[in-house]
Amino acid sequence: MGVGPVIELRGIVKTYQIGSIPVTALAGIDLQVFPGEMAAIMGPSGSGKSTLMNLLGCLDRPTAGEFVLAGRRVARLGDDQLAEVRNRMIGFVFQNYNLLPRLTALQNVELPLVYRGGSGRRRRAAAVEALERVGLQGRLHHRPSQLSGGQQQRVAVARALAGRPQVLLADEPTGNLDTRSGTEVMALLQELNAGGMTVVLVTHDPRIAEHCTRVVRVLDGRIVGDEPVADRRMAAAGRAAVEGEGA
Amino acid sequence: MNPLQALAMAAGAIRGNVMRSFLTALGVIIGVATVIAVVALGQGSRQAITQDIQGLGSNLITASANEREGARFTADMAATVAGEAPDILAATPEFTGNVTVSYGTQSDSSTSVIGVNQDWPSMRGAHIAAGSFFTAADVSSAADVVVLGQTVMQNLGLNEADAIGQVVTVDTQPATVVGVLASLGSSAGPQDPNEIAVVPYTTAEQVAQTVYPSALLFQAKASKDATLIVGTLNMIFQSMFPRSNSVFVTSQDQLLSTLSSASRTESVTLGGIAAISLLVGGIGIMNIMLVSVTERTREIGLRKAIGAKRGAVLLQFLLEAVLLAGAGGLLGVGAGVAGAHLLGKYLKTTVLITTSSAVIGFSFAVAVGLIFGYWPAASASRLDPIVALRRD
Repeated sequence: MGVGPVIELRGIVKTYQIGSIPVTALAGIDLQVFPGEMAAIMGPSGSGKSTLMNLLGCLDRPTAGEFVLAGRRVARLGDDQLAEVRNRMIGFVFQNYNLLPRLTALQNVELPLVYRGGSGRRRRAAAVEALERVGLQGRLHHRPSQLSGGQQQRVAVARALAGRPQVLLADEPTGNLDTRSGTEVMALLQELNAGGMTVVLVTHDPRIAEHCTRVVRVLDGRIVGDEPVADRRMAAAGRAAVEGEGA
Repeated sequence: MNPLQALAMAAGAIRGNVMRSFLTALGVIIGVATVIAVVALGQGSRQAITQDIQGLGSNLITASANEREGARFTADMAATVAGEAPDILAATPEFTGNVTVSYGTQSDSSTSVIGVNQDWPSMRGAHIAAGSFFTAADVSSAADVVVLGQTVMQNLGLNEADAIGQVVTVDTQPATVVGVLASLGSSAGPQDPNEIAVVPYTTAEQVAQTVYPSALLFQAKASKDATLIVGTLNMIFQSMFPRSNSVFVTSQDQLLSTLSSASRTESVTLGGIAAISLLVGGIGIMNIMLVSVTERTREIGLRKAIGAKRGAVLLQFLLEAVLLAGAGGLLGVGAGVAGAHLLGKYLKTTVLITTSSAVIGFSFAVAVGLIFGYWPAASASRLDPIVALRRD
């Protein structure tokens, strides 16, 4: 295959110093994620999956090992370089949306592009386009408080998309949502994935993981399982079912 | 990120909480307003005093004798001494005393009588409103003539049109009014500078009941010569009156420089007050900015997660502090100008608001924002995005 992995981790170790005691959060992780995959990272709390997510999001640096993101070695970059990588290559979706309450949906989506620089008109156009992709073209000027939880998370997805990242990283994206809104968000992520976007999501919910193409299980800082999903759950069908119930 | 967007972000944060922003800036507002108002009052009174001193005459040098040290001037000393010192344009003895001037039934019992020669108006910077000043001939013949100040003229029930040629009584001596002086301007002192009657010094012996001039006045050719002349005069008087401290020679310049050194002290004091009030204002801003950084930890974490570099976060928070302080500075200038006018009206004194004091007040406010905003902004920029995002 000519296409290399978009994410490649080799021998990633992460230790924290808590007082004078070193704590190993990740004890040698090797992982490759290829373009177009939708991978779920699962594990109980304390397994190291959050640390792994932070590393994948370039929010943190490994103690040892190599991380190549879309062909770029990012394990030893400085703070500002990492900020640049996060800005251009990664789209984040958080459990609690993390929208800025004072800003409108459109302004929230524009924010990563503001930090990238460039013309205001192009920035605005990209933000509008991203909001259209998540189906919120009618909510451009609403503030987060005027939107439902599901809509807020879709704004967050639009914000992650606006910068045209290589990878979408979602950390428990449905954790704060009811079943119906959660299903909607999963349908949206699957749709984006179907369009070619690489998605990595962290969850402890097996039902959410079943929406992915692959499940990576983490325990005690190691990968203990990595297998494709045999019978992938499609959220669009689920959504139809939920809507059928509601009608 | 371009600075305009950082500015927009900062402005958005301030607009988001108007009341708190106002209270935060209040310290700076009060500080700047105080400085502007006090400087305006100080400069106003300094201007008034400076004008009074300059009103004493151009390049005037006064020598006064200390009789307790045995120094006594005589009228002819003015000319003698002026002949010995260089660059003196004019000289006159000055006799002074208090008299009652009366005209018909009207009188002015607290008139200062001044006995001088014909050069006095140009030395003293006095102008003639009506008639003319007495002449050298009047001086040499000890003519019974008098030139009245505005206040005396009014108190005698006369006006500029009819005063000339009237015979008034100076104490017991009748004298013909030959001229009326134009107003000598207001004085900060208790004495009305216009309540005077000027007579030839040759007649002053009778009217002022004094045989010795209280001072000798000299006029320097140019103000730059004044200091040198003062030195020369000191030497001359030293040889005439060997005891120390027997004669005081002062120039108008010395008075002005005494005043300006006094006002320098005043400026330093004011500067200190300004510095302290702005320090307090700055600490207020720093305090709220630190609170704001803590409150907005998640926001900062998010901004960093989606690609804000340290510099961008620093700039945003620094601009917020500078905007707060700058807005406070503008409001403070406004409040200070208004307050100075009100105080001036209430205290009936001159206020002088200069552009420079407004500009300096505003600049200090901005500088306070920069200085006291830096630490909170720097600590915001150093936040670890992981820790910041995890915070509730």
